[in-house]
Amino acid sequence: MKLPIRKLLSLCLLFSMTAALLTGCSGGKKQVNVLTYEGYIPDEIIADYEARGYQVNYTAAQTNEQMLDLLQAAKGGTYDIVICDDYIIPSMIESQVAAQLDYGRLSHAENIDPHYQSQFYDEENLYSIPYLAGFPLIVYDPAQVDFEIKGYADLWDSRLKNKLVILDQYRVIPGITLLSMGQSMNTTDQAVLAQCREKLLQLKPNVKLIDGSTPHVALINGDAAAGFVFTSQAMEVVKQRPDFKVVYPEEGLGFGVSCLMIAANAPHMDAAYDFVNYLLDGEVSAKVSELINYINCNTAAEAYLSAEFKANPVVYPPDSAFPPAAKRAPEIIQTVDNETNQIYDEMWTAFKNQ
Amino acid sequence: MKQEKSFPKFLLPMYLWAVLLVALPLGYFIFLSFLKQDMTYGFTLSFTLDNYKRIFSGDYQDMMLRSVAISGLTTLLCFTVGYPFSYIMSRLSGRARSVVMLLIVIPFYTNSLLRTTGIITLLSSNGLINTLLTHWGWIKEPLSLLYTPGATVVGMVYSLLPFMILPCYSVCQKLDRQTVEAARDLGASRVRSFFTVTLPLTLPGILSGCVLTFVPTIGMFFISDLLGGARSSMLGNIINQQINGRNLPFAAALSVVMLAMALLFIGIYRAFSGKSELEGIA
Repeated sequence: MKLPIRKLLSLCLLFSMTAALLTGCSGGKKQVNVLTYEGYIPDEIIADYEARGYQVNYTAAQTNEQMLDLLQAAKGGTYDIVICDDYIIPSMIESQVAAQLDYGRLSHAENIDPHYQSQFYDEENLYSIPYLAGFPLIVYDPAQVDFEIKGYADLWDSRLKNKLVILDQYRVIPGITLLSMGQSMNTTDQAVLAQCREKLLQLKPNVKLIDGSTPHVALINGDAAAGFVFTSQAMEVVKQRPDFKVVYPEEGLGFGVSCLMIAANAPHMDAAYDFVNYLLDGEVSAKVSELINYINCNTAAEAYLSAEFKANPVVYPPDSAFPPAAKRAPEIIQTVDNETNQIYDEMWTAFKNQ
Repeated sequence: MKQEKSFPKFLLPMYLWAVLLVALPLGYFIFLSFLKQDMTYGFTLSFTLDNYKRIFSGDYQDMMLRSVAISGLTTLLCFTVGYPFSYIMSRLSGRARSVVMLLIVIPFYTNSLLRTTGIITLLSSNGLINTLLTHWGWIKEPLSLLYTPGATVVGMVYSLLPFMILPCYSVCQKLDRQTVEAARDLGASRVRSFFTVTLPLTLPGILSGCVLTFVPTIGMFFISDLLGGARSSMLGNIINQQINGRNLPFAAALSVVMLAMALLFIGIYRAFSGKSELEGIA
């Protein structure tokens, strides 16, 4: 009696598992497969684009590393478009998962703001198109913090004990530790890194929470009094809690650019270019920026951005955030060699382990 | 399992499935754990023992101890709540019993991430508990409940309780009441009959429940990330973090250690219970 039931169950299981392999095949509309962070292309924009007869298949990744993994596993196929951050781009290019752009097929190439181009990760702009940019900032609740936070160094102040929320980023937090020491975020100097590790570990008593995806929620809910968060998260905080203060750290800002790239073996190459052209349209680009609160990298969007958005000091920091008022010009986190990367990784692991 | 003399051919797809989805990935990550990290490709094909040396270098001792302590505490609390619960449940009438069983199982149809987020809304500074306590005037400042080790343990216990209840319930239900009655007739007190008859007879279920709560707790990274604030990492968090940081070989080495720990606990279970399969789930 026992065996037939088991047999039946195993057969059912087998069929359902095989069926699961076959799902996801669909026809009809033209498809475009996008890989990026959750919500990084606003739903509204996707809906507008789909109204033109396309179907956008959105894969949400949590980290740049995950995007790289997925693309490598697919040998640059499966996905058509990827939007990822600056420092991972050299790895994408080196492992040949990104396609060389055919500028002849980019109908709005002239809209790309050259200010955000020709960076270390793609000096000749062969693979990447800047999508959005931002400066991570310190935000705090003056009602719970009884001194003025001016820069990264103040985050070590004992009055912030168990009150801080920080990003879960193994290069960013050691990076601001380095900035607080007057060093570059990308240093490879072993002695400096050893000091940085010591200093980073001293930050731990102040840290209440390390959150990679929604650090602003803890600030809004009152579970943390101060935080170091990305631009759009800082914006969300001040929108919901106008009493919060935004700090442009006196030691200098960190800076990041996220870029659009086309996968090397994109299954829907035509649709990929069509979608990139759509996103490069001034009006669309302006809408994207205003919806998710990041710096616009499109010269044609200028005319469509509201005066209110352009005057937003969280997205567009004032002059006082830059030299000479700040000690350093904004710095982008760059890829470092494997050994140095391991040092950054180990100090972050030790920090979280403490 | 019964030993079949001739190999049942129609089970072949299942074996194939097991080889493809269990044995191969397992072999792959054991292999991976001996390689070197590479930023672009994840790993390079050069053999090294560094990943294991790094685990046992001392930097990770605190984390290992913390993982075992939190998992141990979770298991203990699950047992304290789950065992009496299962015992009482096994003595309910048929209908009441199925209702209670349903109440345990239904929440687990919901995504565990959602349930954990639900706990956040309870424990947060402006969450339900703090709001009520402030409203009643019992506290002036909101209590710091969220992002503490306590919150992690609460989340773990909540998530894993059914894994303690189900095996305990399974043995309590099978328990021959007459043996307890015999002990009582022969003059044993309630307490004595419990410790000499009921407890030893239900021990396999308890041990099975302990394995089923202890082992998953070590790897449950999202609960300590979400409720504990990711401040004090456990083994699962470190693995998750190494994967996100693209140190796949080190993540693989940590996974091998975690697997070894799980096997160790299952081995202990087998030695103590004399059974080869976990009670209550087979």
